[in-house]
Formats: sequence, structure tokens, C-alpha cells
Amino acid sequence: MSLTYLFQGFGTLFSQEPRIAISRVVLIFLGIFLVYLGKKGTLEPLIMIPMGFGMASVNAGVLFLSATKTGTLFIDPLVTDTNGLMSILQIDFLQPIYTFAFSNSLIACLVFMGIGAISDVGNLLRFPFTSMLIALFAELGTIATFPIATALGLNYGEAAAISIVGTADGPMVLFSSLMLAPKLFVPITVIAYLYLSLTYGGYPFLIRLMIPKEIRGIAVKVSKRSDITSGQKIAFDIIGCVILCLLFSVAAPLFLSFFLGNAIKESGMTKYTQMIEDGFLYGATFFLGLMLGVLCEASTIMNPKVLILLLLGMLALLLSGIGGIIGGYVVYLINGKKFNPTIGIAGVSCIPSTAKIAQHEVVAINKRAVIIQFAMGASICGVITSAIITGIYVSMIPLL
Amino acid sequence: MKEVFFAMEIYLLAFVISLVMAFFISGMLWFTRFISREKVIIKEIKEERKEASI
Repeated sequence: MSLTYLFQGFGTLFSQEPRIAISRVVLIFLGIFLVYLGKKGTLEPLIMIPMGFGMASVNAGVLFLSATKTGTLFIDPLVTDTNGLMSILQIDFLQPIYTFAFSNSLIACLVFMGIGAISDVGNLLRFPFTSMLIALFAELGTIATFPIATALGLNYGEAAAISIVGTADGPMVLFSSLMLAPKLFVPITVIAYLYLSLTYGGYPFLIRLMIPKEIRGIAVKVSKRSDITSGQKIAFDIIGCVILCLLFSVAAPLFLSFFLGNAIKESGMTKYTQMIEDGFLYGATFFLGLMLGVLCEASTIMNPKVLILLLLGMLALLLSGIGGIIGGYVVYLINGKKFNPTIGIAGVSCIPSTAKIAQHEVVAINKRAVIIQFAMGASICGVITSAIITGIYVSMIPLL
Repeated sequence: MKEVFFAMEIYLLAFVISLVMAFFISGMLWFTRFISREKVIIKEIKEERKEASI
């Protein structure tokens, strides 16, 4: 027996196209590197450790399925016909999760429900106009990247999907790329999650670059008439959910998930809240990371558009950060220079990372300044404006 | 150029919807506060009448 057939992971490296074989080796090392960065805390470990493991294993565990065909026992995202799918479901161990939970956005919705359950819309209800204005400015990347992407040769669906990276909202990117660019959803979602992990490292530099120290330390006064009851929050959840579902039916699963998660938390059903936070959110995040890693098989991800997507994803997040800070400056000027523009970065809806970054940067200058409630309001508003823009893209792109 | 206008159109639409939502939130809060204030006033009036009848 040939050693090539005995150790098939190695053997397939020599029988595949050199381009694919080299990519496999690179992706194995990239997977190991992601696990290292996750463990070190440079990137988000909740996503990066399962993703790194998945990426390294799927590219190592390639075997001969027949004399001429290679593949894995993990997943086949490209299978379309029903008979083929039924066979694959009985062979590939992650195929049931991919087919029944990933490709129909169930995982994205569960993550979104978890985000709803950990969010406090009270901050948004206290400062609705300020929060909305900042969140709208923080969508600059989501809007401005679209024409740039089409100019670089992407079709409208692909351009919109990569632009949504500017919302800094992982489930939203997953949902929209599945809807608008199913052929590119793997690279787009992987890029989005990689960059979202990097925002924690990059945005503080953007804040320091754009906001001088004396302005960064401004403490914002909070008015006393700001008690929001749980009844008011639930009323907002249900009415907001119905209105947004009426406006953008295609994004209705996302709206339902977010507002339901929040309403459950506010209604004091602790058992449900615990189930959503500990079960749904962490379970879905784990499988999301693992699936993204497993989908990074060299033959699936090899696409000449990936380089363009890497550039556009970074541009979208950078522009959104700049837009958010500009929004912070606008509110600063409207409020007679009594508002801290650093809060603007929280409009980029990477909950709760961007709000924490804003508070951290402000405290570094002025230890008494607490801006987290404004920042969380802007962040939650960012989720809502992101969902609105995603809904508009998903509804309008097929009509073009 | 067509894509730039399309992007601007999307932004304008999102801006209007978000602004309407902000107005809706303010209106809802005002309404609930108004209702609870009225409830307190009605309760006080009822108590005063009760005391007066005694």
C-alpha cells in the first residue's frame, strides 16, 4: 500500500493542484495562529479558538473520496441537489448544523437574540435623538463602501454584503451575505469576524488621532429625569419590532430575535434570560466560530475577489469609525461643547466593545468622567440603524 | 455615479426612518409619563373626596 493512501492528509497535498496545496498549508498555519491570538487575547477568543481549530483541521483532514476526487468529512457547503444533500447529511458530521442552522441564518438569529438579552434599551430611550444621530453617522462605512466596491468590479449584491461589514455587526454580515452574495459569504463573514476582533486594537488609535486630549476628557452631565421602567422598554420592543417588520419583512427574523431577547430580559423571566444568554448566545457563537473555520477549506475560499474583500472590509470599518467620531463632534457642537465626541465611536454597533473602548479612552484622560450610558445608548441604536440599513439593502438590491 | 446616488438614497431612507423612530420613542415616553402622572392625580382626587365624605 502506498504511503500516500495511508496518510491521506499528506497524500492529497501531493496530488492536488500546487495552488490549492500551498493554500491548505497556509490556512493550517493561519488556523494555528488564530488559536494563539485568541488565547493571548489579541483577538476575540470566543470566536477565534473554535475558528482556528476548524480552519486548521479542515485543511489538514483532506482525503481521497474517489480515485480522482478529494474532500473532507466535515462539510460540503456547495451541495445543492436534494439527493446529494441527503447522502452528505449522513456522512459529513457538521453538515446537519450547516444545513439546518447556518445556511438559513438560524445561528445569526440566535446570536442576535443573545445580544438583545444582554442589551439595555433604557440608554437609547433616555437619549433617543443623540443616540440615533451618532449611530447614523457611524454608518458612513456601510454607505460609502458600496459605490467603491462596485467600482472595483463587485456586483451589487456582493458590494452591499461587504459594505455591511461597516456596521461592525457579525450576525448582520452573516445574514446579509447569505441573502445577497451566497457565493462569497464564507470569505465575507470570515473577514468580518477577523476585523471585528481587531476593532478593539485599532479604534483607540483612531480616537487618539481624531480627538484632542482636552476634548476627550469632557464629563457629560446626565439629567435627573431619566428613569425608564421595564414596561416602557417592553412597549418600545414590541412596537419597534412590529414597525420594523412591517417596513423590512426580509429582515424580520433579525428584528424578532433582537427585540424578543430584550423583552424577555425586561419582563424578568430569569430562566429564559439565562437560557438565551448561557445556552443560545454561547452555543451559537461556538458553532458560528467552528463553522466559519471549517468553511475556510482552501478549495472553497480560493477566490480572486478575496483580496478586494480584505481591502473593502477594512475600509468599511475605518470609515464607520471616522463617521462615528464625526457624529460625536456634531453632537458636541449642537450641545454647546458639553458633549464628549469620543462617544461617537460607540455608534459603530460592536456591542459592547466600542462602548467599552470609548469609556476606556475617556477614563485614561479624566478618571471622573463616566460616559458609558451614552455610549451604550449609541451602540444599541447602532444595532437598530444597522438592521434598518441591512433591511433596505436586502429589500432593494434584488429590485435593481 | 448611479451607485453613489443609490447609496445616498439608502442613507436618506435610513435617516428618515431613524428620525421617525426617535420621535416615536420621545412620544411614547411622554405619553407613558403623562398617563402615570394623570393616574397619580386621579388617585389623589379620589383620596381627597374620600376624606371629605368622612
